[in-house]
Formats: sequence, structure tokens, C-alpha cells
Amino acid sequence: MKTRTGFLAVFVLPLSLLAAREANAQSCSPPYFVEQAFPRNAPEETRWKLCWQVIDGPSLVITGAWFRPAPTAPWVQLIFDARLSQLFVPYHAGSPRFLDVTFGFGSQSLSAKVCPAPAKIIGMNQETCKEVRDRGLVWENWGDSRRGQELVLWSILHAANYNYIVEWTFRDDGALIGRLGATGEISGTDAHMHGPAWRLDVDLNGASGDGATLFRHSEGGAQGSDSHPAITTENSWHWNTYEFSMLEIHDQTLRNANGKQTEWHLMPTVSGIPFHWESWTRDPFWVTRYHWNEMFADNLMTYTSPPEGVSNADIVVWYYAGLHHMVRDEDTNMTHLMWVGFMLRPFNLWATTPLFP
Amino acid sequence: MTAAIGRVVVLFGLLATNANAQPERPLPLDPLTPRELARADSIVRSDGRVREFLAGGRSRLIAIQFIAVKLPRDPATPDGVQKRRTAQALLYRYDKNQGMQALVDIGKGAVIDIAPIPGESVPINKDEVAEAARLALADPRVVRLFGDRMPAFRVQMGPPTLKEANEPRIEGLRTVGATAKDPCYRLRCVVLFFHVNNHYVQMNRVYVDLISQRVFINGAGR
Repeated sequence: MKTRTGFLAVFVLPLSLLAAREANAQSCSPPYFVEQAFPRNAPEETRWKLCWQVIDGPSLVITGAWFRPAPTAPWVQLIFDARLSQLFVPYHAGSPRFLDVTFGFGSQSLSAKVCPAPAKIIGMNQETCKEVRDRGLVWENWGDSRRGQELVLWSILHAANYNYIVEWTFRDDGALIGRLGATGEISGTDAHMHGPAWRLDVDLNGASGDGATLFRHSEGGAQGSDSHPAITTENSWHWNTYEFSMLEIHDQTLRNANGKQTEWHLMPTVSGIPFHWESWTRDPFWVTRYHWNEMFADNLMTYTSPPEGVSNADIVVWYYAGLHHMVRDEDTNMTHLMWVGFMLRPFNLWATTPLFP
Repeated sequence: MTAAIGRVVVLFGLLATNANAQPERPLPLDPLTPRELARADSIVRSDGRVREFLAGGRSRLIAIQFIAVKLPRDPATPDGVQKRRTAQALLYRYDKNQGMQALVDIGKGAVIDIAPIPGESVPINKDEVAEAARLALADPRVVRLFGDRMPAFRVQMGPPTLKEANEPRIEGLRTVGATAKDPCYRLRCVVLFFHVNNHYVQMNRVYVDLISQRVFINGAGR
């Protein structure tokens, strides 16, 4: 775990020593180490570095991710381990109820057809596609504008008649996006849900001293208001469309140059929230205290009983989402990709607008 | 399958899955090398607590996988950066429908922690799919599903390659029962997927419970 002494060192050590610490943070070898500066082919403004592995079961796992908001700024750790923990596929008829994360199929080797240049196929088993994409307009102001870029890694999790695209996107503005895409060959007409549950071990600025609040928006009369109740013990929380619910993750000591607390916000990008008979699907948001053996989302009820404290702690956030698949004739031979996911977006990391002149 | 044969099969599977995946001197967050996987397998199987868990009933080593860990008061991870080479082993007892997780410190040569896990949360592995397929193909009701055109199926032990796309193969996924009315309720059920002529056929028809080793035939579609 990160110690308070370790945190202080990041801010008081000379730059030469800082560089040494950062070099030590590279804990994996190419091709499992990926570093990307933005923008490409221009002076650096921001940079990501990360480690990844394809693990039988969850497929593409991020085993560490750090963001640097400026060339001279210290690295900020965001992720210790981010993975698809479970993929629950219950059919409306009540059965079958598949658990598609299994130890059996592994991930497919990719071809240049699915991952064409300039993207690169990486991994000793050619299992991951690495792309740097234009992500469109970041801002526009009377003809002046800025386009953004993002680093995208994805692999294919094969689960019998479905192939799932497990995708992680690292944007130039510090946002991290996790998505799951479902494609494949269907049979029958029973509607069903593809429910990915992500386990996100967010170690913001290191493992210790982290916490979360639940964002809620409300309207009363002509006025709106926002609240941020602290999450103090392990539990789960609803996502309310009217409240713009999201989890706000912070570190006790990480602040921007304005002295404001830096956070990363877990924001769902969904059209609806799944809810099934199984009690672990009761809510999309869960926060637990880190334990090495708590890896499986379908065991969340056990992990949170009895509830432990999650204030100023090493926390893990879980997000359960759903793709509702109402079978259409267009699915007859092959289901086109459907996507679901979330965004982890920085809040008060910079003291002013990034990627702006 | 005897324990000895099972061990060889599992180890071969682990080695095959991870072949060519690693530099000789891995950094802390690199994938486990075949050598490390073999060592972790040996460490797990020789641990007293694991042996006790596995003894006296039908059991299986489900998986050994890379895991990065943060241990309390662990000087090896002062800043949350993994320094050890660690693996997680997942084991399962059929008669108790109970699982166990074991944390292996490969450098130390020891299991440094164990934790129980409900059987329902233990994923299946490819050897279990193979067992389910063996049970199903020996069942006359399954044979009848294909009539006199029973293809020469093989069990898919990894993602199919383009070359394998048209070969008759069997894959499997785990399913759970929501209520006591479901034949898979609180059991360890595999649904088999039969792939013939580049299409899946008889989907969601054949269920196999690996605890009772019974085969169910269902009429639902996927």
C-alpha cells in the first residue's frame, strides 16, 4: 500500500529523483507496457502509460494505468487493476442464465482484417488491437477549435455463439472509457440481457486514502441542486436517470493547483439499467474495500457482508450494466455490435481548461 | 479421470495457453511464464491446506492465473506498485459445491493466503466443458438430436481459428438456475453449443450438471 511518506515524496523530491521513481513504476515489459503521448506528431501535452494482459476469463485486463496531465507534471496513478469481472446473460424466459466469463475459450488471435494498419496487433498471441484514434471535437469557439485523440486497446472474448469486444480507451483529457460490445450468431427469438460487471480497482494517487461520494442532482420548483453524500461503508447504490447519478472517487491528498480536491467520476453511458432475480444485480454501483480474493461480481453480496468502512481506504468500485437485446430480423445471420460501458472522467485535475491554447 | 492424469491435462492446458507469452525475465506485471505457471501449480498442489481441501471428494484445479496483489503491511508494494510475482489458483470441490482461492507467491515458493469462495462463483474451465461433452455424447437422447447425421465432434479447447471454423466442435458455457424450479438451481451446469457447417445447432438444448453428472435436454433457444 502507498504510505503517506510515499505521497509526500512525490511533491518534495527533486525532479531527478522523481524521474527515478517514475522509471521504477514501469512494472511490465513491451508489448504489455504501452505508453502514449498526446497529441501524436506534435509537442506533448498529456501522456498515458499502462500495463495490460489478456487473461483467460475476463480477456483484456488493465493491470496498471497512470496519467500525466502535463510534460512536467508528476504521474498520477489511476488504476491498479481494471477488468470485466462477470458477464451475466439471463434470458427473459428465466432460463438459460449464462455466466459468460469462464476459463475456457481465451481470447481470439486477431488478423489485419479486424485490426488494420495503422492500428497494431500486439501481444505474443496477437490478441490485442492497439489504435490511436481521432475522437472528434474537444471544443469549438467561433472557428477556433481543437480535435482530441485517444488510445484504444481491445480484444475479443469468445463465448460460444457470442463474441464480445472488451475495449479500454485512454483519452488525451485523462478520461478512461470501458466498453463491452456484443456480436454473434443468435438462435431463437427470446429477448435477453448482456450484463457486464466491471471490477475497477481505482488507486487514485496510490492505493491508500481513497474514498467515494455519490453524486445526486435534484430539481425543486424552479431550482436545481446537487448533493454529494459520502460513501462510508461497503454497499450498493441505484442509478437514477433523473439524478444523473455517478460515483465520485477521490484521494485524501490529491489536489489541483487551485487547492481543489481532484476526483475521477464514474459515469454510466447506458440506455437502461438491468435488474434481475440475482441479488448482486440489484444495483449498478458497488463500493468495496480491497481484498485480493474479491474478484467475482456475482459474489458481491458476500463481499459486502458485514460491511467494512470505505472512507480513506483502499477501495474497489464495481459497475454493472446491461445491453438489452430484443431480437430483430436484422439479427438473423449475425448480430451487429451493440455497446455498453462507462467513463471515468477527471474532475479538478487541472486548474484550467486542458488542451486549450 | 484420475488425479494424476487430471494434473497432467491441467498443466498441459496451462502451458499451452500461455506459450510464447513472456520474456525470460518478467517484470512484476508481465504475464506468468510457462515456467512460473508450472511452479505455481506445483506449489499449490503441495500446500497442506489445499491438499486438505481437495482430499476425500471429487475436485478440480480450475485455473492458475496472474494476479497483482496489495497485501497489508507489505513492504513489497509501498506505493501500490506490484513487486512480487504472484498467481491466483482457483479450486473446486464437486461434492460440497465449494471453491477455494489460493494466493501463490512464486518467488517464495509458498501459498501465502487462502480464501473460501462459494461454488456458485467459481467459473468453469475447458476441462469441465470436455467432461460435459463426454457425458452428453454418451447420452442416447443427445445422439437422437442429431439423428443418423451425428458429426464427429471435438471439444473446442480455445478460441477457434479460421481453419477450425467449419469443423464440428462443441463449446460450453455455464448457466445458473434462478429458482428451485430450474434443473440447474444450485448446481454446476454447462450448456453445450454444437457447431456444424459454420453454424451453431441445437443451441440451449443440452445441459449437463457436473455435480450429479446428469444430462438434461431443454427446448429453449438462445
